This record gives sequence, C-alpha cells and structure tokens, in this order.
Amino acid sequence: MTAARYGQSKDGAYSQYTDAGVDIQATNRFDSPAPLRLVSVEKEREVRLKLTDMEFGDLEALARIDLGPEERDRLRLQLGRILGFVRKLQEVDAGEQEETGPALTGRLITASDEPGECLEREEVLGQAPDREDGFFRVPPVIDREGGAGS
Amino acid sequence: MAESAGFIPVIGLEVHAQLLTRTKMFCRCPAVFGAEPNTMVCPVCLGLPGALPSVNRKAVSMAVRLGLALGCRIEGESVFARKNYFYPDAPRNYQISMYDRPLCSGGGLRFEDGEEEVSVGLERIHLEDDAGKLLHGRSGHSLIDFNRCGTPLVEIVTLPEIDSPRRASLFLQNLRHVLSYLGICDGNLEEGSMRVDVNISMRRRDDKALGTRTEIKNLNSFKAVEAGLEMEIDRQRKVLRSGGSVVQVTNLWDAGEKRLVTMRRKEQAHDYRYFPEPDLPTLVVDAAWIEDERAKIPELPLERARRFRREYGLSAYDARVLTAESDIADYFEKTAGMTGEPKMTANWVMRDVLREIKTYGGDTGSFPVGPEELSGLIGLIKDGVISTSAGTEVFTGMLGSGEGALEAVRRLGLERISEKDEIEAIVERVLGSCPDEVERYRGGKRQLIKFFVGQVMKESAGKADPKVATELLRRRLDS
Amino acid sequence: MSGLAGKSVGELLALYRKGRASPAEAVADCIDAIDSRDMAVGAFLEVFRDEAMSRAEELENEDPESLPLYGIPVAVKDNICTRGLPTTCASRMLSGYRPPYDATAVERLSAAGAVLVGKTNMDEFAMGSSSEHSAFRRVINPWNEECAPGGSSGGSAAAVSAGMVPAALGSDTGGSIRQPSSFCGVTGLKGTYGRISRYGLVAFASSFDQIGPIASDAEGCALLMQALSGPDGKDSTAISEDCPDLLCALDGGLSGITFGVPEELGGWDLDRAASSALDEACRAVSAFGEAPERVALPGMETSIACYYVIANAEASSNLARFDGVRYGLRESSDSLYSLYASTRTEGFGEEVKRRILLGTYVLSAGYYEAYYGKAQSVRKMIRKAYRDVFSRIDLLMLPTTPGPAFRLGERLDDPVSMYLSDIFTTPANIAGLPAISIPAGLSAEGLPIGIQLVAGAGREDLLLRGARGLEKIFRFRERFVPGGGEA
Repeated sequence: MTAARYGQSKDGAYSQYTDAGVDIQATNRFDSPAPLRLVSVEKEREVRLKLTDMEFGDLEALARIDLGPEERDRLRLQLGRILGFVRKLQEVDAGEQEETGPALTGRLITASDEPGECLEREEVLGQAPDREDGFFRVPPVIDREGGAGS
Repeated sequence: MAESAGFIPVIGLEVHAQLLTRTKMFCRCPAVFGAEPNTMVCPVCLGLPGALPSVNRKAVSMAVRLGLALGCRIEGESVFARKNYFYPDAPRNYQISMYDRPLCSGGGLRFEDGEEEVSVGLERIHLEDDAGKLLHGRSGHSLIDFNRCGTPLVEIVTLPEIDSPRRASLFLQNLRHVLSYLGICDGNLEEGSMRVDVNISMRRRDDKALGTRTEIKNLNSFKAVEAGLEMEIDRQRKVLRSGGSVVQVTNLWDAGEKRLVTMRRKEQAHDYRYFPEPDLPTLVVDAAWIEDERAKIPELPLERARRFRREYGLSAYDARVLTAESDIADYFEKTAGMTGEPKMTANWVMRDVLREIKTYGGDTGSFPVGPEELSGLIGLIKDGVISTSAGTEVFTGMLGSGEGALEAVRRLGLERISEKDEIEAIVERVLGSCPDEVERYRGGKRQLIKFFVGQVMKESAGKADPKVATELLRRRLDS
Repeated sequence: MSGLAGKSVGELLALYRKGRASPAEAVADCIDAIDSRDMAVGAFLEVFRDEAMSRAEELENEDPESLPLYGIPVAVKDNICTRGLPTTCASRMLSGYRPPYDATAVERLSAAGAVLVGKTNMDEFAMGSSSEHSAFRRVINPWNEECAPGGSSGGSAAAVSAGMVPAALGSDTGGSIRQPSSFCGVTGLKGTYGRISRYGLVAFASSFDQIGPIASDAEGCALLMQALSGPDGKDSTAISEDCPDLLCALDGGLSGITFGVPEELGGWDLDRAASSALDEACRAVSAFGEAPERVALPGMETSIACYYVIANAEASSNLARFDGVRYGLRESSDSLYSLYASTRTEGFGEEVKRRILLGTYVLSAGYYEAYYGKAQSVRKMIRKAYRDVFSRIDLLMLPTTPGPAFRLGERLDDPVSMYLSDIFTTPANIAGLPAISIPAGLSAEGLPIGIQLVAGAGREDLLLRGARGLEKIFRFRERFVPGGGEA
C-alpha cells in the first residue's frame, strides 16, 4: 500500500490539468472541502487565471484573512495574473527526480536531550494581548478541531 | 454483539503516545508535568517570531526502538512536514509532524486474546510534537498553557484490521504494555500520556470494499474505547440496515454522559496543506543507530509471559499478573532464582508484594523487602523454621523494620518449635486435659487427631511443627 | 564624505587601533548623521542612542585588537530580533513588539565588539523590492529623492549609502540585500544558504532567507560575515563547518579566477548603465586572465516563477503564527475565527496578504502537485545546473538588477513587474549559493548600478576575492557620492 503523497487524494487521483482554456477540476483530497473549479480565460497572448468568488472566499478562510470587497477584487485579479505567470513552470522539463524533501543542507543534526533555559513568565506573558493569571486568554474555543494528538 | 445483516466492523486506531524524554521535541525546555502555567516555554515552543526547531535525538531513538520492537521497517531517511491549521493551542498554527515519508512503516503488534494469538498490522509510526493545553476561564473565555506544547509524541497508526471493540481495547492495553516495557511512555489514557482516536466503518461480510469511515475522539479509557465503538457500530448498522448511507463525521466521546456527540460538519473539513518542513533537513537514521536501539529492547511482555509459563510452570493468569510491570517481573525472577520455588515465589509476589507495594510508590525501587530478603523469608518457610501463617507476620515485620527474614523471626520470636522434647511436653499437657476425647479416639474416632493437633498448635501459639506434633500424638494415643 | 560614520569598517578599525578615534566618537557621529539626514531618507525605525553610547563607553576598556568588529556601529534590519528592543518587521502586526531574546547574529555582532545603533526600515515582513511596503513610512533612495532604494533591506542599504553607519545587517530571500545595495551604491553580501544562523530572523521563506552584511566595501562585508558565520545548534539548517578565512582571501587578486556570464543576458533588454557596467567588468577580468565564458543556465524567468511559488508557500505558513493570541496586534473579538481574521486583515499590508493568499493557494488540495510539487522539481533541476556550472567556472558575473532604481510608486500597482526586478538575484537563493553586489558605476541620471558575482556553494572566499578585485577597478567609492557630483 502506498503512503499518501502530497497533494494526492488517498485513492491516488491527481488533479486533472490540461492546457489553458479548459475547465480545471481540482481533486478532492481526503479531508478537504468541496472541489475548487478553476476557469482559465485567454486574453490576447496573456493567460489569466480567474478564481471565482467562492474560491477566493475559501482561500481567505484558509488563510484567516478577511478582505473588503474592493481589496478582494483587486487581489483576485492580481492573484490570477501571478498564477498565470508562474504557470510557466508547467512547461519546464525538470528531468528525473528523487523523492521530495527539504534538501539544501545535508542531513539533520539532532540535539542532545539536555534541558536548556526557559523564559521567565513575565517575559512570556508580558506582551500577551490578553491574559488571565498565568494564562493567555482568547475567546471561547468551542469544538475541538483537528490537531496534535487528536 | 454478533454481526447481523452481514455487516462486519472494520476498526483502525491512531494512537498518540507522549515520550518520556527530559526535554521537548524541538526545543530544550523540560518536558515536565505539573509546573506553573507558561513557565516551561521558550521562543521555539511559544512560536515566537524568528524561532527555529531543533530535533531531540532521544525522541528519535525512542521511536526507532518502538519501531524495532513492533517489527517495523525503519526508514533510513525520513522527512518532517508541516501540518497547517489555526488553533490557539498550536502556537505556530502549524504542527511539525511527518507526512509521506514517516520514520517507520509496516510492522504489527501480536497479543493474546484468550487462547488465540492475534496480530494487528501497523501502517506507520512517526514523530511529532504535542499542542498546548486549553482550559476554561472565568466568563467563558478559553485559557492557554503552553507548558505541554512541544512534548514529543509518537503517532502509531494501525491498518484497519481490528474487527471488534474488545480487540481494539486489547490492542491498546497490549500496546501500552509494550510502551511501558520499552521505558518510552507510561501509556496512561486517563492522564493523557496516551491518546487514541478510532475510526470505524462497516463492510459486508463477503465484500472487500470498505464503507465510509467515521471517527471517534476523546476516548479516555479502555472501557470508553469499547463502549464508544459499540455505540457507533450499533448506529452505523441501523443506518445501513434501513437502507441509508453513513456520512463521514467525527464524534467526540462525552466521558460524563457516556455518549457520542457529533461535531459540526463545518469544523471537520481540513486542508492541512502538508509540505516538507523547510527548517529541518532529512532525518537520517543509519544502521549503527538502529543496532544501538535494537540492543536496548528488553524481552517484551508477550514473550516474557510465555517464558514464565514454560520455565516456571505458572498459569496463564499468574504469568500475566507477574509480567504486568517489568520491574515486578524482574523482582519475581530474581527471587525465584534464589528460592528455587517459582510457584511459591509467585504467590508471595502476587499476593503480598503487590498488595503492599502501592504504599511504596508502586515500583520495586523503594520497596523495603528486596528479592534477597523475600527469598530469605521463603527459604525459612520452606525449611520449616517458621510456619506459613507466621510468614505473613514476619513479612509485615520486615516491611516496617527493613530487617532480613531471620532477624525479624528472631525479634518476633516466631521460630517454629520442632524440638521433640518441647512438643512432647505440650502433647502430654494436651492429652492430659482432654481425657474424654482421648477415650473417644481410642474408641475409634480417628479423625479426632485433627482436634489434638489443633490443641497442640494452640498451646504452642502456632509455633509447633504440625508434622512432628501429629507423629508424637499418634504414638502416644496408639500405644 | 567626512566624519567617522562614513568611514568603511576597515578604515574605522584602523583608526581605533592607531588610537586616532574612539567608539564613543564614532557612535556619536553616527547619531548626528542619522539626526540630520534620516528625516529625508527614512532608513531607521528605531535609534538606540543611550544603549549604543553606553556600549561604546564600555568598549573603551577593551583592547581594539582583541575584537574583530571593535566599536563598529551597525544598524540591524527590523526583522532581526533584538532582545528587549522593538522588532516590528515594519508591520502593524508587530508594532511595539519586543522579543525576549537576541538573534544569534545579533549575539555574535555584540560578542565581536560591534555596537548596535538602531533598527532599519524595510518592506513589511521582507516582502517587497522597494521598501515602499513598510507600514510606517517608506524609504527614500539617498541618491535621488524620487527613487526607491530597493528592498526589502532598503533601510539598511540607505543607511550605509547615506553615511549614517559604516555597516548594516540585511536579509536576503530573493535579492533583498543585493538589489537595494545595487540601487544605493553599496556592497551587499548574501552567503551560502546556512552560512549565517537564521535563529532570530523573522522567517519569510525558510529555505531562501539569509542574513547578510551591507557595507561600503568588500572588506567590510568580509569582516562582518566572518564574525557572524559559523554553526549554530539552534538552527538546523545552519552549515556545520566554519566559514573559510575571508580576510586572507580578499587580496588574492583577479588572476587565476575563471569567470562566466549567463548567455541568456544577451536576450535581455538591459538598461544601458547595466550593460556598460557588465562590459567594463568583462574587460577588467579579461585583462587578468581569460575572458569570461558564456554559460548556459536555466532561464531566469523560470527561476523567478519557481521562487515565487515556493517562497510564498513557505511564507504563508511562517506567517500563520501572527494571530493576535500571544503577542503583537490583536483586534478584539467575540469569536476565535474573527479574532484571527480581523487581526490578520488589520495587521498585514496588502503585499503580505497577496503573498499569503498565493502561498496558501499553491499548497492547497488539488493544486499542490501542479504548483508546489512542480516548483520543487524545477528547483532541484536549477540547483543541479548551477552545481555543474560551478564545477567548470569559479565565479558567475552579471548585473545585479536589469537597471538602476525605479521611481517611487512606479511599480506599486503591478506586482508582477515588481517581482521581475528580482530576476537576476533570485537564482542564487534558489540554488543556495553565495552572491555579492558591488557598485560599478552611475547611470546617465546619476543612479548607481551594481555588478553581481555568484560563487559555488561554500566559496565565499572566491567571491570576496573577486569582489575586491573588481572593486579596485570600479573605484566607485572614490569616484561618487550620493547627492550628485564627484567624491
């Protein structure tokens, strides 16, 4: 059984990616929201990728950024333009590749299990935007989202 | 709980175990429990701007050891990856975990379910770090303590091969047992040093295709695992039998109400946008490291219990009790080696040592009666120097004073009287004081011998050797 | 340029060692220069008058020979953590934030005897090529008040360029040290990836970021690089070997070095100043040995596309920590979701938001393979190509930027054109190679233009040797000063 690869849904389907001018459907990766639809529009010789309002909304949600309508329109178009530019990468022949991994600097050098210095609590909490006694304070957290150990 | 309408449960488990390292996974803050909130933190585990992770070698060693113990393949090269999600207990709003190149893959856990040997296969084991703790504050706010944040975790993922809630619970108990023997985790579900998420789907008996999975989180005991799974299986079966289809949801176990609560669908969809952690180069575990860890693996619980049955002739139950904790098993073996009486030693350990040891911190480290002392005591009983019942008193005495067996016996004056003269004198006294019984015995009621022995024992405050007393009584009575 | 603040690092050290100046005098002079010039430039976000003066006074008790950066006033880019002192990354998000720890680079600066004078202005979170994206004020090019100084280390480059400090630290992710150095007529060095510890550098793109020195000459850069470099257990990506001896290498001369020029340059529409600087450099090099060879390399546009995908992907993740929970700005709210969303929407400027969204997009489900996955493969290919080239030549030579500084406001509406100003600098970040920009000459409008050298991994020694050699040919510092006219 193959381990999951980045960006790949568990049953192994890749996103279908064809030339500009065709609807592009993103595969639903396990745990991800509904499929995104990317519509590419050819304009003169420049390829622009236009994200729909819904897609852009999903993107904002993922990034926890809430744009106003004017900013949203501007950024949406700019993003499309940038994506059109970076799509050049599709045409590049990268040749044979070994496994992905961060590989600029050799192998990982691990550290010994010896305790080091911690911060003083006032250094830690002194700049907290909101605190209660020795804790950081935030608005109530309701349901447990996915996270470490759970 | 039998399968009906041809649906069989398919269960997979995801276990997170906190490793017993001194420091955290990616920084050198102490990994301790119970400190004042937010005092065991540094720029790294607080997610301050500019901080960078550095990997705890001992955590890797422990994970490798676990992988070897469970028969996994240890990957020579593995890759840490970022799992991106926003949550207040995650100070970087990403967790450093492993994704498509984990440290260990394959392997499995073998254990006994009654007479049957069962094996549950594993998909992978990898390293990651724990999140902070969320608590409720005044006026409904949430409070965050980052002391726990960064504690090393191993994540153990099974294949979806478990076919009953009871097996799931047994798997977890046996896994905990292995983790404890390896000295890498104390595996306490209630305290959270071990956590489990289960996923469950139903498939038709003759169909290989798996159904839609649902997940259950927040199970805080082995019993809860069983109960939660039973409930969910029940629910899914009802849905399927009525012609409906199972919807992929995550349920939380409510420990108070003992029921499942479904999480809102909106919160469940996650795009974690995994990508290789650019702050950590490839983790290389070479053959030398692997062999170092292999050498540190002790005899594991299953093998040890089996050997106890073979070598010491113990019952399955006794072997299980004695191997529940590896230090007790060590204690037993040392003592049995000196006494040469495994069954007797087993009884003493299971009954008396285990009863008293709770008062002394629960492990043999500070227990006043060590293997030498206990074997001394057992030897005295075996040789008839004291009676079995006197032995219990001596044991208590040794606990309190820290003396050896013989010293305690002498101090308490519990040596059995075996001098014939002394016993003869007592026999005379007893026979003299019960002439009616003597007549009845000589008249044919031979079972009265027991009465006479009892009287001699009473007279001697239990110290007479009953065998010698019986022999002397018979001689006197039959002559 | 008179006054101690405008001296080079080497010149200042020599004065100290001869007893002809003291650190206190130098620091005082820097503060004067800042007070009189920075209103018009905007290079500094914070000036640490008292701390700097007291540190300078402490140094009087030390032997100038014993510390490699004795008494050198240094300005530090505001994305590098300075303990107890403001570190804002020129963002509202961190306005008022004081880190409880020093970056390793800052610790090493102090240990070497340097004096921290202040924090410099920049593009917010190092995202930009003009230093116009600062949340507080923009930086002006000291050579022309209508022009941008480049970015994102525009404040550091301008501070050195305007003679306010002899040296500064910047950070370089896609060219953020070299491009502003080129625009401001100073020397800026980015080492091999991992050469200087990133611990304490607020991360933008983890696999590209490097701290580096900006000074008025190659010697200044060498002295700073030597003091800052070296293994650091707190940064797992830092190189575990020491830097080669750079001071030894400096005066090795140009002969014996083989040079290459990317053959692609022929197809580019370079500014006349850039192409004549390159011509002059080629001629100079040929006088000492072989003429530079034309080398085939992966297309620069490919490099920059690759950079934009990976760098912004990493950035979108690195900047997730800014959420109003533990430090920095918080926009109060009743719900957790809107706490995050309003804090981040208010706290981040538009360029930062743009990049976070782009980065989030290329990592998201369904797009990972097409964008991020592909970009990583392309990156590997580019790295290999450069490795092969550097097995044949010692130094690559090309203009730092296609042209001199552009006008303020000129590129704000067109992000792609802004990104393209990094076109010659990003390959060194993609490949993790050391690179330096040295000022070559002035354009017809009197704006500086720089020449860039790139070396193979770990070869900062060759790099600085080549830089020093060319510097002596260009004689920029002797010939030109900001504000027009000859020196």
